[in-house]
Amino acid sequence: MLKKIEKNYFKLYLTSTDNISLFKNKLLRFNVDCFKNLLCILSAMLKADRKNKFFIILVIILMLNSCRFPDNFGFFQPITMNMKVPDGPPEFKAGWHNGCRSALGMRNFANSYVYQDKGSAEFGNGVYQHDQTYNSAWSNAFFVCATYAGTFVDYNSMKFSPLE
Amino acid sequence: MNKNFKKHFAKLIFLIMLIFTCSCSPKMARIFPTVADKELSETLKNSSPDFIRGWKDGCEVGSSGGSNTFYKMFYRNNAIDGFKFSGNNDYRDSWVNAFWYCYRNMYVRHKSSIYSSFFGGIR
Repeated sequence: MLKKIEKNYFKLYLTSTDNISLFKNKLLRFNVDCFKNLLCILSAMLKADRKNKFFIILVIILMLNSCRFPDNFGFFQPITMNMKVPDGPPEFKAGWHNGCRSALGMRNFANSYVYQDKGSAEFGNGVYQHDQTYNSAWSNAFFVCATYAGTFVDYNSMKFSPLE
Repeated sequence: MNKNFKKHFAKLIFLIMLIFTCSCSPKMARIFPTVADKELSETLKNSSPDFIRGWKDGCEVGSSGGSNTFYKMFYRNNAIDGFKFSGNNDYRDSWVNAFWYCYRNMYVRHKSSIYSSFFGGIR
């Protein structure tokens, strides 16, 4: 499968340097589509013989098992972001939870309305507001979540890519 | 038979390498060119265990915040021990320092997509 793709790319390179109209080239269209929606893997699987098909399926299963699965669909927060509050004393957990929600509730994040309960920073019911641990956890969680969401939106994998 | 064995052995090695590279852990991320904490074990060898733990956790969170979407897969954004953070000065100070160090370190290198973080001079 890899050899086939490499061959296709070599052909593609030759044709593009010869100034042949790129969009008329079926090969180019095939490869661009492959990169866009991963149909390449599926089509390769369908074309592969029984032995290779088993191998490809095995690799995909192992890859999926070894990687951590995203715990959300990426609608309310970035898909790789884990919103689970880390373990700790109650005031720490409350601080982390509120700080992170406050960060995601800022307007530079597209889905901020989901986290804007009171239209401002989130401090819960105010029980822990004078607690040092709470405030420390709040400020750290705020920066963690704000920077995470900010860089996720601004520096996505496809930005400045050849297909952009 | 020998030929077959070689063929299968090569496949097995390839498979193992693939699993390792796809295991999405900070340890594997260190093989990539632009990460912050490659020399961690050398520089912190005389520090206390809590300090080292705090540095590792803080750096993981900072790296997740400063990196682009590809590198984010390798780091957890909630790697912090709340009990130690609230009761252990070594852990807390180390965590905070490591967070900002690794965040800035990754951020200045990853201010663009994966392409620029790998091939920084091209673009």
